[in-house]
Amino acid sequence: MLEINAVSAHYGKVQVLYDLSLTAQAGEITCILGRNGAGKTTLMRAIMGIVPATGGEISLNGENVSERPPHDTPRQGIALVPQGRRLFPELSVSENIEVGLMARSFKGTKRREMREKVLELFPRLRERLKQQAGTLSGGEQQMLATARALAIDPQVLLLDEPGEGLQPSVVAQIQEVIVNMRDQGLAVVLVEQRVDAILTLADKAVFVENGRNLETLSRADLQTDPEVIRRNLGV
Amino acid sequence: MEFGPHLMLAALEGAITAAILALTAVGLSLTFGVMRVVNVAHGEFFMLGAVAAWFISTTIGGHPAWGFIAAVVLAPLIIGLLAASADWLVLKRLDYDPERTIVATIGLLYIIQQGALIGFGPNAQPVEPPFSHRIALPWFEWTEAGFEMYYPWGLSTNSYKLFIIFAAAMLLLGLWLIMTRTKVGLVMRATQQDRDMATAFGIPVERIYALTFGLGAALAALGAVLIVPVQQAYYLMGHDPLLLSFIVVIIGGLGSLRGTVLAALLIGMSDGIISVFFSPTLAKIIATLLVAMVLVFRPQGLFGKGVH
Repeated sequence: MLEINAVSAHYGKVQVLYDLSLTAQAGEITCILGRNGAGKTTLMRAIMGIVPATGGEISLNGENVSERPPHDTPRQGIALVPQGRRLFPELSVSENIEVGLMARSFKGTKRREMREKVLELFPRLRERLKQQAGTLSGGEQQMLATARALAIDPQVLLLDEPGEGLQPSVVAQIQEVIVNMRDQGLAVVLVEQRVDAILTLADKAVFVENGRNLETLSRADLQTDPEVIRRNLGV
Repeated sequence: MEFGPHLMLAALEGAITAAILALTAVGLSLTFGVMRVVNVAHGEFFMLGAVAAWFISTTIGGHPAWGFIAAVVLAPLIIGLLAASADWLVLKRLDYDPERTIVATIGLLYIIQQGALIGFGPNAQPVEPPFSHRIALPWFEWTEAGFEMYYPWGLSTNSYKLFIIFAAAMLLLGLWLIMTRTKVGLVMRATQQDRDMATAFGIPVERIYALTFGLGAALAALGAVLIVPVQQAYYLMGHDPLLLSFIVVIIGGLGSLRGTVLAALLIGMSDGIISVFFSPTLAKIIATLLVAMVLVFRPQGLFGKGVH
């Protein structure tokens, strides 16, 4: 279980997150919702340690991960699919996956198993292993960003707007993978803006505004009153 | 000597300049490419390599080959460690800020240079080559009697100069293999492309930066160890390699290793040939003019893809 307890974060002198809290349970999709600039991406970056948490605590299964050096976060089993994919554009598809596999120093059989597992999830990547990541289509890039994160064999998967700018068929494929991962027991934290995706995927929704918690709703609450999403997102 | 053999001799001198320049400039390019740090002290690591080679070879004594072998192994290692310490002590504390690190490396340049003056002294010191045999070079001509090979008077080189070209080529090939075929190379390339994502995938970026800064300096030191037997070790010898490395890196494209090697060949060969036929000053003027043209018409360099 990922626990975020009263976390604050700053960009220089500007505070972006104010005592933000949430929990992400294994086998559950926790959606983070909020308007543009609410601090959703900063929260993802703070969980990964890329933006240091200046207050509060981030813990995984009771162990504080925010006190460790940032490059240790993936080794704890937390993986990020960032907004805008952020692949290593001049590395090949195979090398991008390799970076994911190296994050937890997988070797031998485990390494081969993980590599096969992610390539089975996205067979299209297998056809393009030697192609430079920057030359892939948007959908393929999103598949690779997801595959790279899953190569870590994470306990917690953070996804920052994975469907942004993609055609519906690719979005559906990515959503299917997310649901599969949830069903396999991963804790999924999903930043999402599209109402239909939220209603399909969210087991829990955490609304964020100006870097603060607004409200937290269960799947049942969302299904009963879907308009709450539109009201909070201002769409 | 006729023009043809004379040109061949000039090209050979150019190839030696190009070989050493390629090694030195690749070090600078690597540092900029991965860390986005413009290392103004790079020439001083070259100078330290030469001074270390002189120190090691005079300390060991005996046959010059023993001193040379020890210098090839130890000098890059010591200079690399020194550079990695400088990274940890100075650059890391500036959070690798592109502007502040320029000023910091200027400071480093003077500290190293004046430190060498105090420790090594103001005089140039020769280092004996490990081997040196005169090799007469043949020339071919089509005469009335058919195709003829002969050895023109004065057309010769020595075995050590040919070794420099061979050794530099092998070292560059080794570096290319490290960068493209090993995990360390993959990690360095990933860090170069996206520092934050490298961190998010478990790469200890600061350690990679220290390694890169050390490797860049070690390459400059290796270049110096190779060339010092045909030049001399001198505490101000870092200026020219720094200027030429910047010229090469800008023409080749910042951060592009392939471009850097190709530009080093271009600048090194032209420097050698123009220096022999005209003057070394004219060679530098033309190289600097070429940089100006590249900066105006193709700021990303001839082979660069632009800065991400």
